[in-house]
Amino acid sequence: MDYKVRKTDSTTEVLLSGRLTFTDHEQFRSVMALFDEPIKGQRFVFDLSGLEFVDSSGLGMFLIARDTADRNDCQLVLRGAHNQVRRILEIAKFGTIFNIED
Amino acid sequence: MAVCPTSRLYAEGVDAEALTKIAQAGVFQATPVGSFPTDRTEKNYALVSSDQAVNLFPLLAKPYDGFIEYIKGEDTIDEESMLVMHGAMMGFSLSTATAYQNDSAALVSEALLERGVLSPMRKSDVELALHEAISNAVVHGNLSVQSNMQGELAKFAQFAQELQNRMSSPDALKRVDIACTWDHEFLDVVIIDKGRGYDMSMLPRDVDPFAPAGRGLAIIRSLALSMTVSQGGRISTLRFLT
Repeated sequence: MDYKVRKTDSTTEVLLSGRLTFTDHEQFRSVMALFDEPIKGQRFVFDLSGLEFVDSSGLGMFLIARDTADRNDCQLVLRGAHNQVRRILEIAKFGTIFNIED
Repeated sequence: MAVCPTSRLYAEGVDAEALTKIAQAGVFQATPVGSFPTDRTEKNYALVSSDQAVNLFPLLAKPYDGFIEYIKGEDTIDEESMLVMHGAMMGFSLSTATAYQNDSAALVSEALLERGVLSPMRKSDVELALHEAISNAVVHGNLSVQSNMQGELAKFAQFAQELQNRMSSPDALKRVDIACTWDHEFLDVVIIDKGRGYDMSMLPRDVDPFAPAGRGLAIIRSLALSMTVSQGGRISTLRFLT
């Protein structure tokens, strides 16, 4: 997995690309470092449009990000999932606990 | 073990010594280095170096029924793996390190697509289910790393560290076998690890979006027609419609 960050005053967009799997723990931890800054009340968007594949570990990473966002009074949005990524979010019923946007 | 004359082993980036060593396990007949499979009525396996095993995609176009990684440092030839490969219509026997590094599930499902076993429509679901089963075999099976370390960032970091440590242990040389058989109706994929198995009563039945772990098995259950486990969880068989 690769990622790029795009920041505005109130929003941090993280554009993820490639495959997000159980081997990507290093990259994920550096994404999570973004939450270390003073971010109270911010909106975080994980842009998934460049992701081709996510596995159950990737879902676990989204959950960790969501919990971290919750603790900091931030909103976390999963945006732009398609094909397999959309499918696994549906199978895992993530629509019930995540803010998912097209 | 009797040598079956219809299962041949070809060298792809390994030397004659490696070929002979694997063939001595009894189920494959070594062919001269440099020869190439021509008879499709026979079963033809490639013995590949670990360097090549990391990216087998270019070799999929060759008429092989499967790929066996020659693992340097493997003390004794894993006879179970060789027998499983011999019995498969398409098989992959890879080291844990290789299965971890490459997208084995993508490779297997691409091979099944190329051989007309799977349609492009079915491929995506099969790939995801196989990916979950293979990562379970690697992480929980051969490397014996537990998933109860996931769920929050600190525990996740601990999980990642444990995984890294285990990857540099001899366990990273253990084999993961992926063996496919099919007919006009079903595709069966058997995934075998060399770990200690797991407590099957702990398996989740349904997909729980809040669960910190165990989601992989629930995902497999929702994508495969059936999943059966044997030998204490060391062997999983996933069935799909073809």
